[in-house]
Amino acid sequence: MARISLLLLLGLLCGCTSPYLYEWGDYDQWLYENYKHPKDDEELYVDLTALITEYESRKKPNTKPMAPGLYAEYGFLLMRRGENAQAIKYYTKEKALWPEATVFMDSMIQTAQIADKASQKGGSK
Amino acid sequence: MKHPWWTCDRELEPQKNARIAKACFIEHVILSLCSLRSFATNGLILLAVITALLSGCVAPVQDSGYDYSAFRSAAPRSILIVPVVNNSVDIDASDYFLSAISQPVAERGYYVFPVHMVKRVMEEDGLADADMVHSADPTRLAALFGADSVLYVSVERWDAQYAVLTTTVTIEFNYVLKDGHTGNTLWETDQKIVYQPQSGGSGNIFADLIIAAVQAAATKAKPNYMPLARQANGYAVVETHHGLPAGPYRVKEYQLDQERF
Repeated sequence: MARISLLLLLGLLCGCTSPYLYEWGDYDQWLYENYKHPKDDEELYVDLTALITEYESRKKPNTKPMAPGLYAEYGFLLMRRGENAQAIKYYTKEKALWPEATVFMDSMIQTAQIADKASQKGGSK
Repeated sequence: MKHPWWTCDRELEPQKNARIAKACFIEHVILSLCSLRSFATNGLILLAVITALLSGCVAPVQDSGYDYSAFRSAAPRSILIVPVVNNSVDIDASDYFLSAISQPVAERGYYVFPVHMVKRVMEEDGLADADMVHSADPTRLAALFGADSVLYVSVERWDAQYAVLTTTVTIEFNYVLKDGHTGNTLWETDQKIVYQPQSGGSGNIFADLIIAAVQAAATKAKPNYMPLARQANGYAVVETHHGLPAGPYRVKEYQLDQERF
């Protein structure tokens, strides 16, 4: 835990001078670990949750935009956990930030809506 | 802190050319000295020939580089990076490579589709095999995701040979970007890098970073391919006359970098 917070702190410090356009967290390293020790995306979900929670709680208005694809990745992991309403929220965020993702996000939102209705029906039975 | 390889403006090609030119120059000086002694009678003609050879060699070789006309006219805003094909001996290399490609391409100013999600969605749609994806029609793939272009990456070689004194890592890969609407090739590049650093610190931060990265990749027990993969992808997209021109989200350079690409 101490190591994680140290990394976060370093990340925040670097953020001030970093030449990157976007907020990435350690996306590449997380994916790498995920492919190296496949555990059904569990670690990736934990890492992305931490990044997005921290990012959304920031008060500074001049933070960098979330990197392309990260909200969508998170939405997809949420969808696979059955959290369809939350998934739609992040697909919508991706689309708002990156209009290039509109076609893909719209079809994913549709899929999530269908899954959400199906699960609600299943729950009421 | 990670070194942002893709943001540096290192002009790799001219350096290479300068080295070739220098070697060429020395070779011709030696040759001309030998020839002058035995063919002293044809002195004038020979001198003219040598001068021509020398001037040809020393003048910087102009690298015309990649022809970006198709790329410029298509001007893609978004890039769909499909799973990487692996032709190397290291069977895990393709997924490692997929991890390290989004960031450098996105930081060039393009919308990059979420690589992991795209991989999973394709798997669910029966496209689990990267070779199958690479042989599929790019326009159909692009239409599925609403992408302007599709990037195909293949790892041709990824060997790490560990030795105490001369650790060598050889990486070879190929990138092809295809138009999502026409299927035409918009950009392609080949990269082969052989890392064989001398062990021990050099005092140069850049050189020492590479040594550390190579050693990490070649460690038998727990190899870490990420630093080299990052670096390799970073070079591939920024390399003058061969890399990827700035995309629409690199506002200050977008369509203003014709000098470099």
